[in-house]
Amino acid sequence: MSNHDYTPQEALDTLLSIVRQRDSELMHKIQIAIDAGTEDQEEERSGGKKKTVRKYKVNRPYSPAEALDVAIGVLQAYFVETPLFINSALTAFEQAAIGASVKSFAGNVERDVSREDEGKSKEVQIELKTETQISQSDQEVFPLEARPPEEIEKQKENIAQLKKLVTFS
Amino acid sequence: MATLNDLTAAIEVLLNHPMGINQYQLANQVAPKAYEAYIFGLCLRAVRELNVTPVLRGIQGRPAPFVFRGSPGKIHTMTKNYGYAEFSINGQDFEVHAGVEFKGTSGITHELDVCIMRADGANKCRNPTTRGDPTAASLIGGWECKFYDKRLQKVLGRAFVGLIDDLGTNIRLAGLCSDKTYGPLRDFFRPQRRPYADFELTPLCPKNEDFFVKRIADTLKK
Repeated sequence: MSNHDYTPQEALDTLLSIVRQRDSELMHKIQIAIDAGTEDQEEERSGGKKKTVRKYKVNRPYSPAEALDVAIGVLQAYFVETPLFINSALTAFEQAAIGASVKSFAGNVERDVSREDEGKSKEVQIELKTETQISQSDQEVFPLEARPPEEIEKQKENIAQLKKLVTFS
Repeated sequence: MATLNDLTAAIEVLLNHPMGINQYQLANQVAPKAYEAYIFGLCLRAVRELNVTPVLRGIQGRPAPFVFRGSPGKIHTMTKNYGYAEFSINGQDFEVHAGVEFKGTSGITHELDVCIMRADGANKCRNPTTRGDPTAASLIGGWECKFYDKRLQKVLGRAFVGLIDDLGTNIRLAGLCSDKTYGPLRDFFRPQRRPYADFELTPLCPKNEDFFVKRIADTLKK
């Protein structure tokens, strides 16, 4: 007996409707992910003397339950994974030292390495306005900033709760 | 019994969280590059596993801030103080780069999202008198980084296998890294001498991270 008073299709419609109201671009990403569908392998057994099994691939759309899983995967990618990537990168950078000057072209590494910077947080930026870009950018760079781990944990719990509510089997 | 009201409430809680819909626009803007920064960081972690401290550098000097390229670029570009890392193992110097273009054996240039290369090759290409694209021969490892919010596409595998094929036989380690997975694409990478399928490589799967880092460390030790 189902533990839900709604069907997978109703759950999917509810999720997509709320996301659409809040951010049409995010909704578009989810729709693309869902519409990509999936590929299955099918088998066909011949009834002849040899009794061979023929295997082939078929494309099919996701079922509503699968589509829910895909949609939540998209939300997780932006709400949980991206902050985790940033935190992980910043931790790795923190543990590195810093070379203070331009490296010698002769190939001999100059002894200019600041060990004092080891273990200290580093300022890291992602370039938004690229070196070949003519058009203007609102922002030239994006500074990577660590997100509080407890906030990420909370979002992981929120994702887990949502998954629980759309698990029908 | 769960009701549609429960579901609606759970969706609202997720979207209204400080790292929900309000930070989506920011996350969307940089997610693929943040993924490259993450893989770059895993390379630094591999170096530290060998009890070596990587050193961050900028092409113009002290990397404060450390700048990741927003698009593929030349290793000698001085437009900004693009960052890279260097380290020495067994008396040999290496560098880690992101978004740098290499000259393939065909002569065409290819961008590698993250790579480890020999430092002498990088120095030569930065030197104003011998400036150019690094050759495939100076590569130790190269990774294509695909932050994906949907199923991985087969074309990614075909493109990366073709790219690695054009980078010659010196490269010791190559992989397609992604936060997602896709069975048929994993099968595509299974044959010997194909790059590794480093799928579901994300902090949500620490075992995959450990495996990736160990493989790099083991390769660097050789």
